Parts: sequence; C-alpha cells; structure tokens
Amino acid sequence: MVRAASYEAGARDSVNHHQSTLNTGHALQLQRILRELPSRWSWHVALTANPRRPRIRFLPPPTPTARSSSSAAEFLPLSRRWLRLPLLTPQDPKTEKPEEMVTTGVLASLQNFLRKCLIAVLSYGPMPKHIAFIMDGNRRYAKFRTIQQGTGHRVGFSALIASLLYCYEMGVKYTTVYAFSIDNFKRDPSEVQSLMQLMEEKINELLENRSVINKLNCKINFWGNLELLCEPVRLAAEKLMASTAGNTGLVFSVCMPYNSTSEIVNAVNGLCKERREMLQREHTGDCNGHAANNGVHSEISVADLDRHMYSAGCPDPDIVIRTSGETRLSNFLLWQTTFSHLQNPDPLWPEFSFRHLVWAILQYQRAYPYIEQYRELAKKQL
Amino acid sequence: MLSRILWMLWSLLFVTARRTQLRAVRPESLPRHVAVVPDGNRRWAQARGRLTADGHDAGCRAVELTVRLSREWGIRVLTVFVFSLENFGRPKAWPPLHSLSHSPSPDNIFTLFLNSLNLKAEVDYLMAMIERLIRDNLDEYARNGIRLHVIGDASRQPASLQSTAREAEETTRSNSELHLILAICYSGQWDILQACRQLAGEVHQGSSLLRAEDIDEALLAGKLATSVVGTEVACPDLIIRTSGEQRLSNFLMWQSAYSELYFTDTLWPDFGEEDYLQALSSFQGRERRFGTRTASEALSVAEKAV
Repeated sequence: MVRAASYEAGARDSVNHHQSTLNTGHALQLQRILRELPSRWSWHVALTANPRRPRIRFLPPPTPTARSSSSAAEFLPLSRRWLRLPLLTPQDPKTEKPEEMVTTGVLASLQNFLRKCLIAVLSYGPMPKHIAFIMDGNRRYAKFRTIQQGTGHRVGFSALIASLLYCYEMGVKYTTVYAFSIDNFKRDPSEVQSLMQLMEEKINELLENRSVINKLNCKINFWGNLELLCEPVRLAAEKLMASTAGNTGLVFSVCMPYNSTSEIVNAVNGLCKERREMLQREHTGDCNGHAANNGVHSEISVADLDRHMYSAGCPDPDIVIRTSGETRLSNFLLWQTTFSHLQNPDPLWPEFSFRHLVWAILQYQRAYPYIEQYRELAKKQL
Repeated sequence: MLSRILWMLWSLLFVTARRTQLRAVRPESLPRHVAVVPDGNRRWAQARGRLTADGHDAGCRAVELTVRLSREWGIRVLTVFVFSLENFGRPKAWPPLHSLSHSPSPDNIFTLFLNSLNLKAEVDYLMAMIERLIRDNLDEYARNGIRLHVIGDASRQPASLQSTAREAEETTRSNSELHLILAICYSGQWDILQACRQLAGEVHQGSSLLRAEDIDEALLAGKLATSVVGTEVACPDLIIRTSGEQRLSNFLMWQSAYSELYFTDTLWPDFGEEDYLQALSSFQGRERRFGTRTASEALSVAEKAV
C-alpha cells in the first residue's frame, strides 16, 4: 500500500520514500542527484510509466504546508493548476495570497487569448466532430507520484473535465470516454468500490450544480450495460441522463460499464427480437408468413445493427486517443472505429493537456484526406 | 580506400546490431496469432516508377516470406488481409496528400497512364494473382505442415478462385503446424453481419432451440469466419499494419478487441525479417492486462476461468 509523502520532509525523506518504488539502475543515480541538492529544495523525481522510453522528469516542489491526501489539487500538473473549480476540488480560499491571485488572473487571461488564437488557426483545417478518449494511466500516475490510487482517479477526472472544456471551445460536438470496462470488474474489489464511489459522487455533484452543464448545454449519455452497476450509481446515472436528454449542445458519452463485444451482442439480441415481433405481426396479418420468413435474414444490414447500438444517433469517432502509449483498443467502440484515426500519445491521462489535444488534431488533419476518401467508398460498398 | 574501410565498419556494426536484435526476441513468449494488413503496394510501385502490378507482385513475395518466417519461428496462426470488400471501389486519384514524400518518378509517361486506368482491371489482376499465389505455393504448404483457410464473402470472389481455395483447403486439411488464413473479400462488419444472419435464422427456424435472449458473446464468436482455427487462437495477439496508416479499416473487428496493434512506416513489399522481428520484440515489451491491474493478475483470472 503506497503512503502519501509528507511534504515537510526534505530531499532525504523523498529519497527513502522512492527507494521502494525505484529499484532499477537509475535509482542509484537519482539518489546521488537528490543528496547533492540542498535540503530546502525537495524535488520529486519520477520515472515515466513507459518502459520503452524511460525519462527522468523533475516535478515542481510541493507546497510547504502539509495537506491531507484526499484533496487532489496539489497533485495536479502545472498546466492544470487553474482548474480549481469548487465543483471539482474543495479548496480553502484563505490560503491564497492576494498578489498571487492578481498574477494568476493576468496569466490566465493571456493563456485564454493564446488558446483562442491557436484554436482559430486550427479551425482553418478540417476539425473532428467526434473524439473518443481511452483514459489510461491514472494508477501509474498515482504510483509515480506516490499517492493513493483513488486520488489518481480523481486527478484523472479533473483532466477529463479540462479536456471536455477544451473540446467545447474547439467546436468538437461529440466526446466519448471509456470510463469503466466490464473487464475492470475483475480487479481488486476495493479499487472497484472506490471507482464506483467516485463516479457516484461526481454524478451527484453534476446533478446538484447544473452550472457547468447549462453553460455547455451538454447532453450526457451513459453507454453500457447499466444493470451491472450497483443501485445508487445506476439510479444517479439514469437521473442525469433523463435530466439532460433535452439539451442540444455538446454531447458527452460516458462508457460505463462497457464492452464493445457485449454492445454488439446486445444489438444482435435487439435485432432478433425486433425481427421476431415484426414477423409475428405479419404472420397474424396474412397467411403467407412462410415465404416472408426465408427472405428476412438476408435483409439484415449494417444500418439495422447500427440502430440497435448504444451509439445510435452519434456519428462515428474521428479520432480515438489512448493515453500512456499503449497501442490497443481494449474492446472499445470496435464497430464504430472503422475509419477513426488511432493515436497513442505517451503522456498518462492526468498529464493530457491542451497541447496534446492540439497535436492530436494536427495529426488528424494531416491524415484527413486519405481517411475521408476511404470512408466515402466504404459507404457505397456495404 | 577510406570509404571502403568505412563501409566495412558500417556493415560490421549493422551485422552486430542485427544479431543483438535477433537475440532480443524471446522464443517462449511469441504471439500465437499474428494478423497482417499488407498496405502500400501501390505507393511502393509509384515511388520506384513502376506499374502497380509490379507492386502487387512484390507484395506477394513479401507474403510468402512472412509465411515462411512465421512457420520457422513457431507462430500458430497467421492471418493476411489480402483483399478487402472496400477495395472493390478504390479511388482512381493517387497519391494522397501525406505520402507526397514518396514522389513518383516514372520511367516514362506511359507508366503513369497505365497506372491510372480502369480499377476493374486492377481488381481482376489481383484476384488472378491471389489464385496464382495459392496454386504456386500449395506444394510447399502441403510439405511444410501449413494449413490453408480462405475466409471472406464467397459471393464476391470469382468462381475460379473459389474452386482453387477449396482444393487447397482439402489438400492441406491434415496439416497443423501453421494455420494460414487468407482474408479475401473480407471485412469485419461483413463477418459480424453474417454471424448475425445465421443466428437470426436459427432463432426463427428452431424457436425451441435458441431464443434471442440466449445469444451471448461465445455463441456469436463461434459463428465468425475465423473460428475455423478454433476459438482459443481465433483472436490475434498482434496486428501489424504497414505503410504508416493508423487505422483498423474493418479488419478482424470483433477479434481485435484485445490485440496489440503495431504500426510501421515501411511499405509492405519492403517488410522483411528485420521489420517482423522489430514488431515481435515490440509485442514482447508490452504489458497485456486485459482490464485487470497487472499482467500476472490477468493470467490468474484467465486460469481461474479455465
């Protein structure tokens, strides 16, 4: 069990703390570096998760006052320190100094201006309408920051909200995220429990503070086999879906608990039942039902199955981004990602920020003409 | 003189690098099922100023090499995506924007002209080429224990190809060292649709045998075209896609749920032993978790399931 580091400690303590996690040849080098640094600078050094390209990253020194590990604000990367909305992470306003807030305000407005300029430049090229995210790397982030795993998922949630806001600014209308897989139920029950609690907490927060949803005019869908969820989470999810069903702006789909193979089986079930009912109605209508029976199976088309998928009504994803460098789909939107551009950026999900999203869209714009041609042709064939 | 010495040093370095690379791939943890999307024949031909047909021929030779290597290294199943249902209507205009680096330098203007001719001619040529590939290599496959399966929409395949394929399947039925699956006129969506149609037919005809609610993942997976090799190795462990395209394009849609994807910029005719080794060593460096926390946990869950 990984303990949260105490922030009044100096470099030596952080070295001791890291000893259990780093047991490669790099560890000795790092210890030497850390011992040479003055003790008032407690630099935290971590190796990235990707074993193919280990890199040493120097993280900013933590704030000097000791805080409880449950608040995630101090674990946010620098790029996302601005995201301290009361909705997401409760924070004590008394600890902020006035001059800090002024400088933060000026910097924030400059950042906003630069961001808007960059988005305007990007919009000259083809912009994706639907981006799908596989949020991989929360636990590794927690492990390498030596914090509890539950906090890793919370930081991941703040990354999710940030990405959603950036997508809204860029004009990407549909966003889908892979929150929880049916295979994830095989994990440690305590981890599954903490994830479910986090989801319930966030859904209830969204239900109470409708400001974010109303600002984005956001429609929230939950795709997946909701019966597998425990009662309070399921009820909260259904309530949120019902309350945002009428919104016409951003469409945010959360896949939980989701497996693409079970989605396809579900669609096949639904289609078979629909056909059976249709045939029964025809059979009672006229006596020539026998002839109708034989022709019906060859009429099943891609469009029929599309109608019964959870994603009926949403266009296919243009980009699928899987963070932390893993190159697999892990049973996510297999039916819908035929012509999606698959991307595997190296940063872990909590580190995914605006510049990574911009780079993802640039790569998509580069590959766009080729993908579009094949998409048009495929529609004619099938 | 100096350049000769430098060239010798360079080739020595290259050979040692190759040897270390060969040692880096562990034989005990190779993938059991490798799937390949051989993309880039046309671009390869255009980059060399040759006819597209030459590109496809070179692609054929690369397929034969890959089959031979897979058999040597003990891979159980190799699937090659030879022809897709979408290839029936390929675009006439080429090249696409991002491959402008492979700028065409034709030998003469007639090559360019011939390359832009009727698509149907290219499709016919491809079908004849695939038939020739099967026929020429049938003896080798029968001798070396390679079993051939051909999957795909039989109604779109020409009759001669269908008969050749059936003959080849009959001849190699008793082999079991390597299962070679050629996906001709295949598409993942088509595969799922045909499984769905079969199940729908069973639901309607034998209403007491199968109800719509009983259809589950195992049942659907058993009806897919790749189940000819058995359900255990039907799903590929590694999918290799050449020529830098980062898409799946409707290949083994259901079966690729947990496959590791490997994308490489090499064009398919240039895909040789080194590239294959690189793909395999990349596969071995990955941690496959199948939704659980660690790879060891995934293994224990799989053992419990069995």
